[in-house]
Amino acid sequence: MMKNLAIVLSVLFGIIGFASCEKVLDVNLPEGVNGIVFEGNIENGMFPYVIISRSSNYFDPIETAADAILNSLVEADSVFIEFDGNRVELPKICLLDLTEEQQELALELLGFESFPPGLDLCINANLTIVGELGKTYTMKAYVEGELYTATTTIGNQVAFDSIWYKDELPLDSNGSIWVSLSDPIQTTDYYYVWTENLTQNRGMRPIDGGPSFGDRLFAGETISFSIYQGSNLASDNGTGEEYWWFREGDTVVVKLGTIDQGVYEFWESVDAASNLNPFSSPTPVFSNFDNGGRGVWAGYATTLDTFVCVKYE
Amino acid sequence: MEFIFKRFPTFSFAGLLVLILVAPSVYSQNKFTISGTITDASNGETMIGTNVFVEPIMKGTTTNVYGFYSITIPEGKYTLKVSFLGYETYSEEINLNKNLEFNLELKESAFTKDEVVVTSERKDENTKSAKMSTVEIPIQQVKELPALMGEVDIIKTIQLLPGVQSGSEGNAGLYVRGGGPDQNLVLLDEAVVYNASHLFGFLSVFNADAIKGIELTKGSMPAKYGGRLSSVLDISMKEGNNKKFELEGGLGIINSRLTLQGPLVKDKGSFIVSGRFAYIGLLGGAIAGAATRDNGDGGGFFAGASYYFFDLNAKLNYTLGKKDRLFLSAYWGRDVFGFKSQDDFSANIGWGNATTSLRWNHIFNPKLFMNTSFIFSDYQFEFGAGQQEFDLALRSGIRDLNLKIDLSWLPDVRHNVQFGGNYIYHTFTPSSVSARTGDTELDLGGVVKYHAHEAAIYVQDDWDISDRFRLNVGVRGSMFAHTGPFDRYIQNEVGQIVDTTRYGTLENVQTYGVAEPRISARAMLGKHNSIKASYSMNYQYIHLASLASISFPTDFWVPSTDVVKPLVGHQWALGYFHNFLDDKLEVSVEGYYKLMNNLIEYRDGFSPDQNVNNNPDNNFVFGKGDSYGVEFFIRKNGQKFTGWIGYTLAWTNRVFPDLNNGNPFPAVYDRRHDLSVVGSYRISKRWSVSAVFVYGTGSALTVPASRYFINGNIVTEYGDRNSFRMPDYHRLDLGATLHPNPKKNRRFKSTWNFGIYNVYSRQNPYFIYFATDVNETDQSIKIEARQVSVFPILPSVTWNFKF
Repeated sequence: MMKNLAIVLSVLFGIIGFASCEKVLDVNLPEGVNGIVFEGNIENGMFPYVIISRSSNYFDPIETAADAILNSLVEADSVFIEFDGNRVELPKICLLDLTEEQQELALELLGFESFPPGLDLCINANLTIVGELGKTYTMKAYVEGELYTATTTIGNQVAFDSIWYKDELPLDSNGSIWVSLSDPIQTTDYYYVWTENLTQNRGMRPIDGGPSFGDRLFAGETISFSIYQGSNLASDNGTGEEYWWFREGDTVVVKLGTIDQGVYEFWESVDAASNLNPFSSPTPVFSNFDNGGRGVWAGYATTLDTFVCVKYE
Repeated sequence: MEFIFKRFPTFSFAGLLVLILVAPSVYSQNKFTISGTITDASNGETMIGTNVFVEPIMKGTTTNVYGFYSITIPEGKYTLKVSFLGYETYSEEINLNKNLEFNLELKESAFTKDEVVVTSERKDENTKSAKMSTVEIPIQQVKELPALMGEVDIIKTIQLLPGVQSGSEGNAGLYVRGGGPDQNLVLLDEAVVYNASHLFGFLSVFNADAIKGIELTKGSMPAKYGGRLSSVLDISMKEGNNKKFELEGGLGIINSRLTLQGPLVKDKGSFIVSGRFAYIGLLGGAIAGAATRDNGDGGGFFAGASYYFFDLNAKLNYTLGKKDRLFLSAYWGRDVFGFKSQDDFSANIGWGNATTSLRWNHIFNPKLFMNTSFIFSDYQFEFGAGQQEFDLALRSGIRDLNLKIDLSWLPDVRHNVQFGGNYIYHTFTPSSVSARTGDTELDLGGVVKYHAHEAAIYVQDDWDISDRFRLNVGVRGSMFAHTGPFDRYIQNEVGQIVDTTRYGTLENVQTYGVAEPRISARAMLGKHNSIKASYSMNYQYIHLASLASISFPTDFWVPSTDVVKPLVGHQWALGYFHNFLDDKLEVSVEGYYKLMNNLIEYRDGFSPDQNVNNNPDNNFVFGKGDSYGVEFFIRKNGQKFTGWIGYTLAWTNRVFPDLNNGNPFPAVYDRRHDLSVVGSYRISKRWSVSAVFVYGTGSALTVPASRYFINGNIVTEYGDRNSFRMPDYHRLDLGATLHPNPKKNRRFKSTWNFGIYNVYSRQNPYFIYFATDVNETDQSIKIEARQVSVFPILPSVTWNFKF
């Protein structure tokens, strides 16, 4: 829907602009603040990890996303997570320390499955523990002498009631996946949706057009909606036209996660910052880290469904 | 207002009223009144701003918006002169020993017949009036200037005045002395026009063929106006020719026009009906082809788009007798955009204004004139979209019922006292959304309406204290009540709604009231030069909630509530005015300082769905702003060459504790330098030419400062709000008007308007965006700033006819 609204706007500008033209502008942007960025993840049944990096000036040269990510990585002094009175360290783990099979698994998990082989990506992770439903986890990261803290909760699981495939246009094989979701009545819930397309060899990606949403508009109700697959600069071969379609015959893993409010606000602000109309005032991206930290420490209570895109009459 | 009372304890509304009412009696002697109405001999239209002058005492007045004047002077013999530039000056000896009613039809000057004669006001009004920060634009001049795609546009001409800016390239929004687009009171025959734009802001809704007069007050607002902080744009519609039937029209690139006017009963009543229709939808294929040239889809995708707009102005007037006249005027306009894509996505957007004014003029006696108006104003916006099993509908709007009484009392030649009041019943539909996905109707709160009552009384006197000093002083008492039915949603600190306070029908939610002083003074320094100073305080009780930096039809109005305080403005201005060359050349310099409190913006991180099942004002943050600057204005009036040069040096800032870390930031339309050079020249009776040059500092913009990766994608972090400037804006437009066969006294007349917009095809920025492109071959990433310009050099031709 959002994608189509954007198209309407472009048609509109096309019509009223008659012969609008576009040129690349040489601008001197203000210097940015090089802040510490956290991409931390803890999920039921999965080990906790965090990728720590530094933000760059907007126009700093960039070769590829993989290159930029590697170059921006920052080594933490130490990282801990605290839960139920326990304190567990997330030590530094580098790809090259792992077996080839483990490397592949790790890259897929991180969404970097197309990383060129031989690059040494280091993160902080603890492979001996996994996230548990209903628990609250506090991350304490010491980076360059500063302490950054964030807290997240893995809430309750919610699963899709049903999943089906729908041919959008009878003339081609493109389509979308439809899901039905029954929102729990008593609670205020926030959700996050991913898909992994095993047939198209696309790893687990947040869906296109806003993977996070809250139940404000359908609290306690059952709704159905369509989802489109997202992309990832670091791994996908471009984001060309129609990358968002599923195709008949695709085997797709659909993952639904519930998230807490802080994580939802972070993803919402990321989404808002990347879907600006040209006349709007950009809004800052929130973070659940203190001390000026960027990014998120996110707990997900997830459920998975594997599904084959078959048209049904 | 409180500080006025503290500093001047004797100042009060009652005190001012007594001062105004008692002061004329001081001069009372054996006096008589000359009064009447001045009309145009050719069509019976009343003439606004005609100079009525009495020699040898050298006192006079100007006709009001209904053509009425009144002068009360001691018994004696005088020469009465009535003049209006471009018309024959009428002169008559009178022996004033009783009250005289003197109605006059003024004839166009033979010398200037069929020529372009442009003036806006009586010739020394600029220096002698106590009014400042006020400009009148003759409609004839608006029609002569080159225009975007040949579309004559009143608002775009007004944007060429110092102190007034447009929001962006081609935008018909008004930004006056640092105020937002919601701070302008735009009146069409006294009815408020809430959204004065067609075509998503590229054209204004005012059809120049139906317009008689335009006056812009950008500061020092007289007490009779209120409810807005920054300006009043008072537009008067023609009344219609009461001598003969006339049909005129035109064919342009965007729209076609047709106007019919004529007598209902000769010399007693007349009508005018004027319509415009834009046929962009009919040109859709060609336009869509141009628009999609770069997209390489051959326009197929865009073929489902259609767009049209129309507007209709109509007015009737009837003279009931010597003392009574009725006017009924109406405007109705609508924009309709439709789109349907091949993959079953459809969208419809429609918006428009409707206004009706019923007015009754009554002359109680030669010194007391009254106008009573009943006014209806309505603005509605609708958006609908659907795809497969998902449907979304959104509507917003505002509707007013307004009763207004204005009286003018002219006790003697030195006083023009105006007083009156009005009451407005507002109904707001801030933003009502309904949506369905599959079989599920989403809970979006249904249609929500807010109700409010606004009332005001005022009194003002234009007091000619002496030949040197003149004072325009007044006060406006205003009040506003937001009443139920209304649900106030109470949020906790993280924005979740935890409680609801429910108000019943007519139950008071919040009431505000205040006395707003207005004063301006003039001192003549010589025969042709004066200084003026003014102070005005204004309250504004309605607010425009806008997500964009420029005005869009999606913006919606909300009332002042228990959460949103009224906007409060204070403006001080000081000016020097000097006329040269027998008043043909007017020069003025005005400095101003304006303070604005209780401005609203959406909070950071807001998205429109957060207005659903919530009060929109729960998502606002509040701040203040100031604006200051100097405006230079040189205007040439005359028969051959007319025009002006306007230059403004200005600063406009905002401070919101909850935005930009609480640090001050420039408003989007903060423009350091703004220059307009406008000229029209009559070469011969067949040809006239015109030119417009504009230059302005680039708009303020918030731009990315840094970036980082999350989930393998780039997240952009923006720098300080509005800390970056777009490239400067400048443009030259040329125009020419051909009057074929000007000498022949034919009933059918036509003109051709030729124009070139943006002669040197300057690529002015319409907007700038930042793009990340991935090369699919080597996965390299390119980040660029891109500027989109919408109007390169654009020639136009318009054909106008009249018979």
